[in-house]
Amino acid sequence: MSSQEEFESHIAMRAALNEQAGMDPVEARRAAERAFGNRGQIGEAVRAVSVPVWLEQAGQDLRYAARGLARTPGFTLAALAALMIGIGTSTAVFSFADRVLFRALPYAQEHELVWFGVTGPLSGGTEFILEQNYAAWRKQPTPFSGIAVSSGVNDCNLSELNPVQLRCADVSANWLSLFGYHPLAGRDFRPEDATVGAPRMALISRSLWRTRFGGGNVSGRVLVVDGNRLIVAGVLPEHFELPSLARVDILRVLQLEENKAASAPTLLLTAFGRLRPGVTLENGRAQMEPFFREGVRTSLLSTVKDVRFVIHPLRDRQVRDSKQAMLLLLAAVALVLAIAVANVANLTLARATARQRELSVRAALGASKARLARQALTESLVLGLLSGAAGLVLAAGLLALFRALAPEGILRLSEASIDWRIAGFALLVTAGSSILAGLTPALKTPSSETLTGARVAGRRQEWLRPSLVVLQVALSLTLLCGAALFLQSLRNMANAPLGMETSSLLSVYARVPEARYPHPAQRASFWRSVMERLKSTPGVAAIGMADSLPPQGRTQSRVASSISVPGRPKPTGPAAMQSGRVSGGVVVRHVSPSYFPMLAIPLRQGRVFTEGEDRAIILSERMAARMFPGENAVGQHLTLAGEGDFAITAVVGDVRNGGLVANSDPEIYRASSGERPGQYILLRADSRVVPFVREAFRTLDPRLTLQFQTLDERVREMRARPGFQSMLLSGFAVAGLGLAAIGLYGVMALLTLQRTGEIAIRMALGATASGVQRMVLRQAGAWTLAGAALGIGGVAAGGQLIEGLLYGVRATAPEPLALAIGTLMLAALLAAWIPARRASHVDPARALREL
Amino acid sequence: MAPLELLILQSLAPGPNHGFGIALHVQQTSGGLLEVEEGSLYPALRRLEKDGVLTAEWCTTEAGRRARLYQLTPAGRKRLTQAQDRWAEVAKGMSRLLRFT
Repeated sequence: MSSQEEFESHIAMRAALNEQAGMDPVEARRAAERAFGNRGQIGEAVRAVSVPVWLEQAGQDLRYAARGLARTPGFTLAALAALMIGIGTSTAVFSFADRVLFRALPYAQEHELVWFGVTGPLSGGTEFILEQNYAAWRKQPTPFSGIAVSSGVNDCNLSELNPVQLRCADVSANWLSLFGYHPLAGRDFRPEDATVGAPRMALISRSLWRTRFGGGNVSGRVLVVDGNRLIVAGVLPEHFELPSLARVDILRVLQLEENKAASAPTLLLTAFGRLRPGVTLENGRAQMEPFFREGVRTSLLSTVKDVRFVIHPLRDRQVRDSKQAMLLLLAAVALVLAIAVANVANLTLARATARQRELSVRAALGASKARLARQALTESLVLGLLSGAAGLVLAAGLLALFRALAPEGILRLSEASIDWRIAGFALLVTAGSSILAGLTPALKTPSSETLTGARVAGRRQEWLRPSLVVLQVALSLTLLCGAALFLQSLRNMANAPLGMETSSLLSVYARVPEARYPHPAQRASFWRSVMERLKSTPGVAAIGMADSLPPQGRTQSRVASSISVPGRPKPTGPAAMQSGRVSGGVVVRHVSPSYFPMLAIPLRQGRVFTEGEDRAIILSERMAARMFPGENAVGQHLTLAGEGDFAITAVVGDVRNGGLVANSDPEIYRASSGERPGQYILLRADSRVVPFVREAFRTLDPRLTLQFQTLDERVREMRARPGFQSMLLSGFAVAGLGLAAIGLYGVMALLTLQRTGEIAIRMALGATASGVQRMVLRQAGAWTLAGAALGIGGVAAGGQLIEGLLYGVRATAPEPLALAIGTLMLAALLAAWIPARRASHVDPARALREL
Repeated sequence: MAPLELLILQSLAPGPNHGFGIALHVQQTSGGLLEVEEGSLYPALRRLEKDGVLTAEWCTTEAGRRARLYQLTPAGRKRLTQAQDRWAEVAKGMSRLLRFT
C-alpha cells in the first residue's frame, strides 16, 4: 500500500524533528503518530479520490442489491432455485447435445465429405455400394475428388498366447488421406498395398500401440490376427474416428480385385466421398445419377427392386439416429428454462409491487428513474450470476449422473464435458433471463402517488402476473404429458411379448477363425466337440446352438422374393404386394433342435427337425401365413433360391427378431450344421458354469475369445436406451412441475399478503375461514385450469414431433394426458393451499390496525 | 480553488517536496498561523495529482529516507498563478468588507 508507506515516511520525519527538539525517541515517535491521526482513515480518503463515480454507484447498487435480496430470503431462495435448475439442466443437456449435433468433426474440410450409396428395401436404411461400383467409379469423372470404402467393423482376435478380442475394420488404402488424417507414427497405406497378393498392411490405434508396443517403433512389426499375418505400417492419430463412430483397433487395407465379373460375389461396401471443391450436394447428386444408373445396369443390382441412389452430408448421416432424441431433450430443456424464467420474472414482479413504496420514497428523495431501473437490474444480475454459478455446479453434477446412468453406446456421452463455450452459453442464458426478469418491474414508473399508500399499487399490470402463471402451468403440462407418454411407452416395451422365455439362460459366443478352420467340415466338427464336451459339464441342464439369437442382433436374412413354393407361380400383383409377400426380408436362423424347448417357443404344428436333417425347415407362424394362407404348411415344400427345396416339418410361434421396437420379420429355421464360424451356445445354467465352459473351450482351442451373456441381460440392454431417455424426460418434467408449483405458490403467497387488508375486512364482515380459503383456492384453480387448457394445445402440437419415438402408444392417447393433468392439479392445489390457509388465519383486528 | 490547494501549490513553487515538507513549509512560512492537517493534505495531493497539476515519484532524501516527492507540472504553475490572482482579489474583497463593518 503505497500511501501507507508514504504516511510512514511522513511520521518518521516528524519524529526525527521531534528528537532534534530534544524529545526522547519513544516520546518523539508517539507524538508524531498522534499528530498524524488515523492512518487507515486517511488512506481510505486518498483511495476514494481515485475511484470514479460510476464505480462508486455500482458499489452502492451492489450493496443495495445484497441488502434487498437478504431482506426477502424466501424470494431469493425461490428465484435462485428456479434459475439454478433452469440453467443447470439446460447447460448439462446442451453440453451433451453439443457433442452430437454441433461439434466440429475431426476431418479436414468436413463440409465436402459425403456418405453415399445405394439403398433399397432390403438394406433397411443403410447405404452400400458393390465392389464393381467402386472399381468403376474410382476411375470415372464423378463429382468426387476421392472415394474411400470400408467393408465394416468386425470382431477380430489377436491370436497370441493371451488372446485379445479387438475390433478390426477393412478400408481402402486412401482412407486416411480422404478424411485428412496423418499417421501418428510410421506410414500411411500406399496404393500398392491394395493390390491383391501384396502383404496385408495394417494401421493400429494409438491405444493398441501403447499397450502392445509401449509406444515404440512399430513399422514392419507383425501382428497375427485371426490367424493371418498383418504387417504394421503405422499408428492412427489420436483423434481418429470412423464415420460410423464404431470403436476400432486395427485398420486393415482392403485388397479388391480390379476386374470382377458383374455376376461375381461381392462385398457390400460403405462408401464415402469428398466432393470436388465448389460442387454442392445437389450438383453432386445430379452428376452422380448417370454413373449410378450405369452401375445398376451392369451389376447384380439390376436384379434388385426399388434401388435408389442416396447421398448425405457426413454429419447429417452420422447423427441421423440420435438427432430426434437429442432435439427432443433440447426442447424439454428449453421448456424447463422458459418456466424458470417466467417464474423468476413473476417473483421479481410480485416483489417489486410489494416494494413499490420503498421505491417511491427513494424517487421522492431524488433518485432518478434510470438509477432505480439500474438498481433493479443490478439486483437481477446479481441473482442471475449467483444462480449461473450454482447452475454450472448443478450441470457438472448432472453430467456426471448422466454418464453414470447412461447405457453403453449413447452417442458421445462419455466425451461430453462442460467446456468454455458451454459455460458461455450458460452465462448468456443467465444474463438474458435475469435481465428479462429484472427489466419488467424496473420499467414500471414509481409514481409519487403510491407514497400515500392510498391505492394498491400495480393494479394496471394485474394481467401480467396471472398470465405468467398460466404460461408456466401450460409449459409444465406439456412436459408432464411428454414424460407420461414416454413412461407408458417404456412400460409397453417392457411388457411386449417376446414370444420366448429368457430366464436362466446363458449364451456364449465364439467365432473360429476361417484361416485356421478353412473347411466347413472342420468347423462343424469343432462345434460338435464343443457341444459334446459341454453336455457333460456339471450344472448345465440343457444345451443348444444357434448362429444368431433373438430379439436383436446380426441375423442372416433373405429377400422374400427369393423364397417360393415349388410348382406355384411367384405371387405378384397388388394383392401380394399388400400382404408383403414380395417385399421385405425373411430371417434365416440355423439352430439345434433343442433351441425350441429351451427358449419355450411353442410348437404349433408338426415336429421339430432332428440333428443333421438338413433338408428340413421350420416356419414361424407369420411365415407360414404368408406362404400358405389358409392352408396347412406342414408337409409342404419351399424353394430357397440357390439352395434347393426344403420340407417343412413344423410351424412354431412368432418370436421378436427386429429388436424391441421395430416390427418383426417372418422367420425360417434350418437345422444347424455348425458350419458357420460364429456360433452362440445356449446353456440352461447359471453363471457358476462359466469357468467350466472356458476350460472346455480351452482344451479344444486355447486361442478363442468367449463372450458370455445371459439372455435376460441381452433383453435388458435393449431396453436401456429408451429407459434412459424416459428417465431424463421424467426428470425434466418433475423439475418443470416443481418450478411451476414454486411459481404458483410464490405468486399466491404474495397476492394473499397484499390482500391481507381486504381479507381482514371480509372476515370482520362475517366471512368464514373456509370461505376465505375457498376464495384463494378458486383463484389459483382458475389460473391452473386456464394453463392446463393452453397446455393441451401444446401437447397436441408437440405430440406429432415425438410420435416416432414412442412405442405402442399414440401421442394423443388420453390416459397419459389424464395422468399429467391429475399430477398438475395436485401440485397446484398443494402450492395454493399453504397461502390459502395462511390467509384464513388472518386476525382481522390486527390486520385492520396495520392498514 | 480551495485555500488548501493554493497552500500546497505555493509550497511546491520553490521546488519538489514531500508531504511532510509541505506541511512544515506552510507552518513555518505562516509563522505558525496556518496548519495543514494530514487528513486533508493527502487526499488533496492525490486529487491534484489526478488533475495533472502535480507529478509524484519515490526518491531518497538527503537524510537517506525514502519519501514521495511532489513536483508542479507546467499546468500546475499556470494554475498557481491563477490561484494567486484569485486569492488576491478575494483577500482584497474580504479586507474591504471587514473594514466596512
